[in-house]
Amino acid sequence: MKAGLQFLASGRVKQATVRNDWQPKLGDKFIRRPRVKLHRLRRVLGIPGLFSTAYGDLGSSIYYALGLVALVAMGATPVVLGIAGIFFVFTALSYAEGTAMLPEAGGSASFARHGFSDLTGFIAGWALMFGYIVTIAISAYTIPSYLGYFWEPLKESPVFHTSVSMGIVGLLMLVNVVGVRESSQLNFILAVFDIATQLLIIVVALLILFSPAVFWGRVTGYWPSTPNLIFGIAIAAIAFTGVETISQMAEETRRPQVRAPRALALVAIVVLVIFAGISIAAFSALTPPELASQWATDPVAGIAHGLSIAIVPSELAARWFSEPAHQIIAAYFLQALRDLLPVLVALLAATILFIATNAGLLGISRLAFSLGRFQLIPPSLSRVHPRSKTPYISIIVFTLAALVLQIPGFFTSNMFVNLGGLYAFGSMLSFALAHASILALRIRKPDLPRPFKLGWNIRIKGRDLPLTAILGLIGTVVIWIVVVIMQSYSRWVGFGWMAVGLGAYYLYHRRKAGVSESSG
Amino acid sequence: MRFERILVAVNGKDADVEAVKLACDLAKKSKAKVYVVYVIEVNRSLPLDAVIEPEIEKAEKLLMRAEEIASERGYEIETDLIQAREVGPAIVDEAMERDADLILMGVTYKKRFGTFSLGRVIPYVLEEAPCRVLLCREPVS
Repeated sequence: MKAGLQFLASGRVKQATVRNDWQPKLGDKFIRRPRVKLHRLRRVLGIPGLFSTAYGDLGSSIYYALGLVALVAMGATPVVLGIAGIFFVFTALSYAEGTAMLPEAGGSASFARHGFSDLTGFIAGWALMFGYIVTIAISAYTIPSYLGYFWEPLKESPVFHTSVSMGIVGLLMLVNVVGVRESSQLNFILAVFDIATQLLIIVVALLILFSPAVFWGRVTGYWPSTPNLIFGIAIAAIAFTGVETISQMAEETRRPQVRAPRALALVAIVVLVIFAGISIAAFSALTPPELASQWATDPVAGIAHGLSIAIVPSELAARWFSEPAHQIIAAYFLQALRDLLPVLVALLAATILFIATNAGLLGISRLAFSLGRFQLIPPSLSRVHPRSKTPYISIIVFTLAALVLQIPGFFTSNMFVNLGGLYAFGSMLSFALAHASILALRIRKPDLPRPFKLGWNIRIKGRDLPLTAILGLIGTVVIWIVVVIMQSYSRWVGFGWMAVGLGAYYLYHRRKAGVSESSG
Repeated sequence: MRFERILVAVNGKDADVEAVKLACDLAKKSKAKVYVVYVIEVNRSLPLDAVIEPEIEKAEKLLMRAEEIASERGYEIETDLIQAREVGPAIVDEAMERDADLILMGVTYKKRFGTFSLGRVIPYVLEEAPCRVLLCREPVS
């Protein structure tokens, strides 16, 4: 042994009986790379891991979806969120069957590729990418609104607002190209903190402000026109971004056949409960016109503002407690809550939206890589940088697309609704194809093992077709058609995106066929 | 001390050579099995099973070098390549799966902000590994 060689032992030897409780923490996932034999996935992600990852996406949407929906649906906001919630459940169920059956990254693109063809898989994937890009744009666009609590021009000035949101997207692009490590534990802590804060808001609103008569009066008094009601349902789909995430993570999940459906069910329940609660809190604290105007881009800040005005510490303490000592303590805590709630919401929302923007970027680059692997998009898009080991081309290309979508923020006031419409365009198309693929797979590959099989089936020509997938397909197609008819911006930008993608797909495959012919 | 299964985690630094040699010497006494693993850390912007050619190439070279070193020492080892989001948990998981009774790692002498630093992987393994952990630090040049 060389002189100078030193040894460090771990200090204490932990007995196996003591340390065999080691569990991989959230985000610890490993695969064995093939050397001679085929590689296998070391699946480690469990239900909590899947839940917190998906909730990171879904939970963030509450910070903008409420105001966005209120802009269109006004008093009917809780109703349209409820209707969209039903379609969300149908979509989550279809994803549960698909993910358990095909546990691979790609989500609806993967279902469509197996259920129909490569081209349909590409259309689903390309539409999904559009949804991701809009999510990046809209999450980043909402951050300055919440930070406006600390410096008003961030919220009020279109130039500052849009510049900062574009700066955030640009910064995240650089960070992801360089390849900074992401803390999965931080995401988990934030998801827990986020749920706790939202529950606190709901409980405080129910205790202090909720009145069934006022709530009903605000719903009926500001009921929208029928077209706005229908468009509101379409826009409300943005509240349920992230259902795709669990499917994307299936590849990294331990026993995905069992855990992915359970995580999807858990996410669906939690999100529906929180959205219902926050809608009630919003309509208790604010009128629909207030929610749709000054608080449109930061609705949860609006609720916190309304609550902090409604909290009169001494009055509430006297109402709840008879003992003077108890009243003093209660008043102290209520004063602290009143002072801290708006600051807490501003900081938490900005942080969660920042992480959601980043999650969108990571999601789209993973999806691009997945599509590139099946040669649905040119492999150059999934090229990995030799030094940073990141798919820098796809990160740059799709971030630039998100930046382009933010540019109208400098000039127009209805940019927020337009982004909502664009999201509905991409996601509804992708979700509709997911439902259709589940039905197609039931017809074409009925014997494929389905660890999670949807119930409530209708038997047609000897094939069991799940009712929820049929209803989900009808619902998402109708919503998509509504968006296309009612929103010219979404129609042209959305179809433009699809046309660019299909054109590139055609050229790429034509070139590929030419190359194989000439080499053959 | 006798060991039956030794896991050596390599990372491409010079200290790996001494770690592999040491593992072979320790294993000889009890005819223990020696597993050498290299973990490729995959960025979250890529799927976990993404094929990152330069990284795989580098890892293959390193593992081949480890096999050569062991062979020079007259010992046969098993090598493996793992892709993970984080290196530390991957090493601990591998040790648990292989029921290793020793994890051996080479340490490069380096200072960060003027203080000797073990990096982030080694402290994680020292804290979380269920078995003994042996660090073999290279001499200060």
